[in-house]
Amino acid sequence: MTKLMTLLMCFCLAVVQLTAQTPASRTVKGKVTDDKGAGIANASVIAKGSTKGTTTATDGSFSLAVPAGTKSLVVSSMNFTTLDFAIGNKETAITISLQSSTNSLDEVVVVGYGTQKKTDLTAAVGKVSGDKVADVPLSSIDQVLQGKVAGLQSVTFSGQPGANQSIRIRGIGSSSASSQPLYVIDGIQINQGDLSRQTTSSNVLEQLNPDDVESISVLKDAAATAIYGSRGANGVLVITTKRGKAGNTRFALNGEVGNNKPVDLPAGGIPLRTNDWLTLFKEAYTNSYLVSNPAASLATAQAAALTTANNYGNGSVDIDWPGLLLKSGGQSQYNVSASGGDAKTQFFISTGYFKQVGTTIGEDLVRYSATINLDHTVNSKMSFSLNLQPTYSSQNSFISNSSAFASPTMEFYFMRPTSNPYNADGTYNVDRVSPANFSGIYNPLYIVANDIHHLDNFSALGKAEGKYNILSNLKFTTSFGLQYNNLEEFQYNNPIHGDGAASVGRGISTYARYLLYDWTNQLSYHANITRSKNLSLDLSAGTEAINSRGYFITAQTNNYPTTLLVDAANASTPVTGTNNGSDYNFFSIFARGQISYKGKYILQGSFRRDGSSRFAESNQYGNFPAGSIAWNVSKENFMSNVRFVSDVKIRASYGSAGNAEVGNYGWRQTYGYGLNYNNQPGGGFNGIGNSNLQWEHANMTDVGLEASFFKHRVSLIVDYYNKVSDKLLFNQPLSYTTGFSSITNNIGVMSNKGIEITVNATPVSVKNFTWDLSVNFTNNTNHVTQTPGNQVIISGVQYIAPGHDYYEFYMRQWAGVDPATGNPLWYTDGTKSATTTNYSTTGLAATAAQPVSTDKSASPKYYGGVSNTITFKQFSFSADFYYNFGNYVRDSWANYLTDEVNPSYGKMAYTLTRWQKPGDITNVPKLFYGTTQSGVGITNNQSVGTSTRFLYKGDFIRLRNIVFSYSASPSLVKKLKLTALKFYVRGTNLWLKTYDDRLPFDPEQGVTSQSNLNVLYNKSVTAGLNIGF
Amino acid sequence: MKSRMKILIPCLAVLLFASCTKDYLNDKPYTSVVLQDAIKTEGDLLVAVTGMYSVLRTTDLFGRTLPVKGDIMADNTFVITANSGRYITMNSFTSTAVGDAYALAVWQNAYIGIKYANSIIAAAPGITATANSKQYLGEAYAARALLYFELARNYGHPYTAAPNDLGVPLVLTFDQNLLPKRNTVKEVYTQVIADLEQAYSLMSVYRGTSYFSKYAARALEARVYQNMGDWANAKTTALDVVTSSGFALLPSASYVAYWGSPVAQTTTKNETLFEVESDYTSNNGFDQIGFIYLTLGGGYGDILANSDLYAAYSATDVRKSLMSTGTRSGQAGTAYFCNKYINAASATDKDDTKVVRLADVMLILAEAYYNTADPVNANLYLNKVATQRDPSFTGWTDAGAQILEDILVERRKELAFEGSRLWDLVRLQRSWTKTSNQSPLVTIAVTPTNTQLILPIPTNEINANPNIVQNPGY
Repeated sequence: MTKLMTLLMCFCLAVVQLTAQTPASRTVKGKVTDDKGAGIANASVIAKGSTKGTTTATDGSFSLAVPAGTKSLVVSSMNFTTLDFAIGNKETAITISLQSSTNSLDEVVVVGYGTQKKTDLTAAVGKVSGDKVADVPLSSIDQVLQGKVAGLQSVTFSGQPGANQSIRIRGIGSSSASSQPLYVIDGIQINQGDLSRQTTSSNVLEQLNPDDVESISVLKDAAATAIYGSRGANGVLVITTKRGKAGNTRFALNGEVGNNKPVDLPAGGIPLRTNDWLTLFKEAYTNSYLVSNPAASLATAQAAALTTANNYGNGSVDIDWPGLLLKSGGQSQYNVSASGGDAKTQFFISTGYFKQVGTTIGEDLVRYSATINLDHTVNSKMSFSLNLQPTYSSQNSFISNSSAFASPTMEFYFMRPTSNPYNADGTYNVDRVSPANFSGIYNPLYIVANDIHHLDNFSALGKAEGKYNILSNLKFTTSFGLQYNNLEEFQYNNPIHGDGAASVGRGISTYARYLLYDWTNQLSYHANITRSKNLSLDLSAGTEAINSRGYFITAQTNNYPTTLLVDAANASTPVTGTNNGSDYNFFSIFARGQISYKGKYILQGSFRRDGSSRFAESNQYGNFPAGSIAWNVSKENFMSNVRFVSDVKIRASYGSAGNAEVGNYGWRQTYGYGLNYNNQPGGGFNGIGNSNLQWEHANMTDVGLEASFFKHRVSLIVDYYNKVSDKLLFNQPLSYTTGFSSITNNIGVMSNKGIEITVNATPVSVKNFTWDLSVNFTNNTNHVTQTPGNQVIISGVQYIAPGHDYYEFYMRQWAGVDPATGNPLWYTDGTKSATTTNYSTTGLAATAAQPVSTDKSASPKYYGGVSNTITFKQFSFSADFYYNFGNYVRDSWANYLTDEVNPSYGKMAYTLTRWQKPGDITNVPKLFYGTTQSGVGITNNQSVGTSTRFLYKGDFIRLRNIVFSYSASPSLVKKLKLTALKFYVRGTNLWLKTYDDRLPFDPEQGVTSQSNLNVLYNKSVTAGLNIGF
Repeated sequence: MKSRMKILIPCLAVLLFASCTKDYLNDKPYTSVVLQDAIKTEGDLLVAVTGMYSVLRTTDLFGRTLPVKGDIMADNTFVITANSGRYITMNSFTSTAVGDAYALAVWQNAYIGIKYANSIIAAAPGITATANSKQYLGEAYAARALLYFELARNYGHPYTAAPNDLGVPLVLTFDQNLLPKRNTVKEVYTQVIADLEQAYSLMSVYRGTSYFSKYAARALEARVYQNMGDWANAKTTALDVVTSSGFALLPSASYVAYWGSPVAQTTTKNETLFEVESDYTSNNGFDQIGFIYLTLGGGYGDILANSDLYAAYSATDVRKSLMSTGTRSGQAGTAYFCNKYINAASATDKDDTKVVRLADVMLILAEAYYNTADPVNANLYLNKVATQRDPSFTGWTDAGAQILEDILVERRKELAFEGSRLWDLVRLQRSWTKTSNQSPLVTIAVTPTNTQLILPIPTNEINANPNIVQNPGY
């Protein structure tokens, strides 16, 4: 490390010593306009070959002193194609017209280790510009990406502020290793995901203020991702932050405030109130009593039911638990930025504040962020840049899923409406002994008021980059990036009630620090092979070294003397005081070459060789090649007469990338410690290891068509892909008699095939009125093609077998409720020809030799987004929909929350539709009380056992985003001495359409589509103001 | 030239860097070492043995499931309606091969413990034999025997009924590719006896009740012979413990305090021959055994005792104080609580679970005398326990088959909540009525042919190992 830094410093110092001389100059004046002649504000105008530059005024005019001999100006502006404009000897009234780059194949796209003109691109790359992700009331950009790019599935599972998000690009590509894409921020391959240790969910990307993002490139096929080698198989998200432009200093102020509410629960999923709850309770008890005591009268049975119901606080209170545990939250964010500079030095500086108060009690997130991006051009040969993004966030998140009885989101469902959280004197009721109170589960109001679950998250992303033009067409770039994450978590459980009661209060502090560096060195070469410049060559090659070190401390102290202080310094008994670490390294070489003939035929190849500490020496290196080709059909002469076609490109790629997200030490056979007993240290053979472990490989084929018509009014991108992931790491089951349950081995094969379609169109564009439409569609088909021994692997409710979708559900097939008896029925086997009332011996799922899948998957078959933007004069209205079809969602908690098998818990409203008399057609069987008693002829009450009864269609359309905005006219803006003024009102998640009437909760339940009683999503309405000056 | 130097520097750096990638790519874990380096000295052996004991503490071995199962499937306890979802399948006799968490966890953890014991036994020949190293090795043999014994009776038919039915696979050395067949019950018991004999002959150091000792191994052996119905050997081994171990029963006055103390004995030899220790820092948290019985300090309080168990104790029986009565939320009528594990919420130490006690050995001895036609000695040892616990009791004086019934009553009262009752009923092929709910009353008539009496082989095992045959009824 030290050696490395010294070298870098030497290099930078050498660069700084050189300075450039300023030659004599003349002044040129003019105006930059769009293709309709309207002035473009803030366009950058730079004298080519010098460092002189400026930005245009609001009306597009500029005045620039250029060095004598300047032949052309380089003019650029966001959403316009950069133009090299020859000025000759002209000095005044120069009109420079820029072509819009939106909907154009001319725009520049950020790809791995560089940028490419979109027209030269041979790869499938989706681009999202920064303005699409800014000012959204969501804490991280991965959440905002939902529905924005074809082939990218962004899956929410929790509405907890700051929660992690799952992204899948072109389907699920792995079983044991991660299926998350690689995130690259300004060239740094970051540590991503949830790095917290106690918090239910946190997200590294939350540390990046979406308002600082210039663009996001979604790299999808081998031509784009193979350059990332062993980490490219799941796709790559290349995120670029904003940088300054030469010209007047521009300030932008964005402020937004609003309100959150939890999304509405479907009527069937609302917890019952006392009257209904008791009706069902007593009915079930009566039914059971009459089975146990066939001779008893109905009245006797009902009297017995009443006696037991009294034990649950019969009717005296009626608590609205959702009302107590859910609330409306707040939402605010403020961002200030300044950018500008001169031709030599440009800067972008911003600071942001983001606050989200959750809609479940005890949840909030506050983030303070800053960005400093500096660029300095030393001379025509040398430049360097610096990025720094320090961020701090503070997150309070009570256990926000089903993992503990102290979780408010779980108790929202589990609490009986008859349990009064308050005593008569208004204090919290924490009685656990007497009937009706908090015996099984805690009083969540007390827990939230007295416990602490806090995360302080400090992170910094920084990069220093130097560029040197060795020759005019040979560039050297070195960049050293650092990612620092520091997570300090504190959990306090009070000694009176809840998880801390057993230990008389406990305080648990954990500390996690991750330090990652990514050092990249790269040479880029451009040459025209023929003198006619018809044949050009681009070559780049480089090395990359990545090192990540994790360091963790855990300290727990129990036994608190007081409830007035929460810090562990006050407690008496240390329980844990440990430190630990986890590291990985990558060292890689990579190269990419591209040959272009007249810009018509483009051939590209890339290669990467990766070495990683995650594999044994014999398997440490992997090679990842890719080749691709593109044909710009529209540049052919025969197309010149086809007027309505603006651009057509056909491209194809094939190559391989890897997946190395396998855990840092998985290959090693280990003897581990920490198996303590009787206060003595113990150890044991705890890691089976596998020195043959190697990367997972994904062989990716992609064929794409990109076309635009009617002067780019309509554009279309269609891709067909086939991604075959082989050498998949599967936990190959071992006989448990070995003392291990499985060994990780490269045995699986899985394929994802699909079609992606993106259509961008401007159906109407008349004076003062435009309508922009953007639609994307993805159809993905996932198939497992090989498992260990090609056997069916049953993993909980997951059925993994050749020929089946990876996330297929495996469970007993529900045959409904017998209308005559009210008994639950299941099919006996996969043929669905016979039914049984006996859950235990139902053959379908229970036969280990021939398990049968439900053929229903947790993964959607179709998904995508539809965005409409209508602009009328100064007003704009946009609506973004996200849709998801073809998957199923499982209610994994139904066994507690419906029927009366677990009568002491809250019940979902649909239980009211239970069978009551012969002839009733319903899906809820006759109610019986407790686990042991069911109808006549059935030995136990298992109507709530895992079955397709609790599998629902996951299809939905959600109105993700709706915005109404007013932008002040240029004349008004000018009068106010501003550069921009915009007011908007935004609604998030305001409308949802689902396609299963029975579905009792929100259809978005994470990648595995299984409810986990997570924090409900927010719907929010926010209003904001953007001011530029 | 100058500009060429500029590229040379970073290129050189890259080359330097590339040349040392072998070290660069070698990250070692922080909490484990290479297996081959792990057990080299007597000290290492102690660490490995300690690690092995920690497995016995697992919730689904002696931490909770084994001691709970032996009562809940018998006629001592039941799961109340307002429960946290634990032990439902045992309470209602509805285990299924697919998804039975206990069948999986007991199997898995027992074989993890066996793996640790095997690795100690494999490493021992390389270590100088001293009294200590032999003691540790003996403890490994004893632990392996204990785990195979529990596996055999939890997954195989009782030895007394069907010794040649399938037991569990015997794995004595580590081999990751192993796909073993099930050995017969008899073969497993033979191995268990052999291991206990090894343990008995190797051990000579008394390290306290939380570790195996010579006579703890002997006491286990007596229990194994009892389960086999081999009364001659049961008598010999039990008598060896009673006469030679130096362990003694506590007077009734200190018996409740004995149960109330979570501290393992280090030098004294009262009552407990072997217990699995839970200390303040290493314990099963909310999965401690005490929390399944009591709501105290945040416990689940899922399991209550049957009223007839409480009624079985006379008013002067000190063991009656180890139960109490009261009410439990959502449960109509009187609730009967188990108070043998009251330290789950303690701020100093946690309840240990007794694996074998002298009182048990004495009752085994009584039963052995009964079965070897010595009713006098049978009553003698039976009453040593019975009169010690109830000072007002003058002793059992029955003759003939009634002696066995008396022994069983005494065993039920003495060993309640210690996971013993089920095995008495099973090895003697008894039928009984199991209460699975008190309100409304739901009962199950259990006969020796009930297939739920042994656990299913977990589906995960069968899927991974085609040589395994499932138990009948699953």
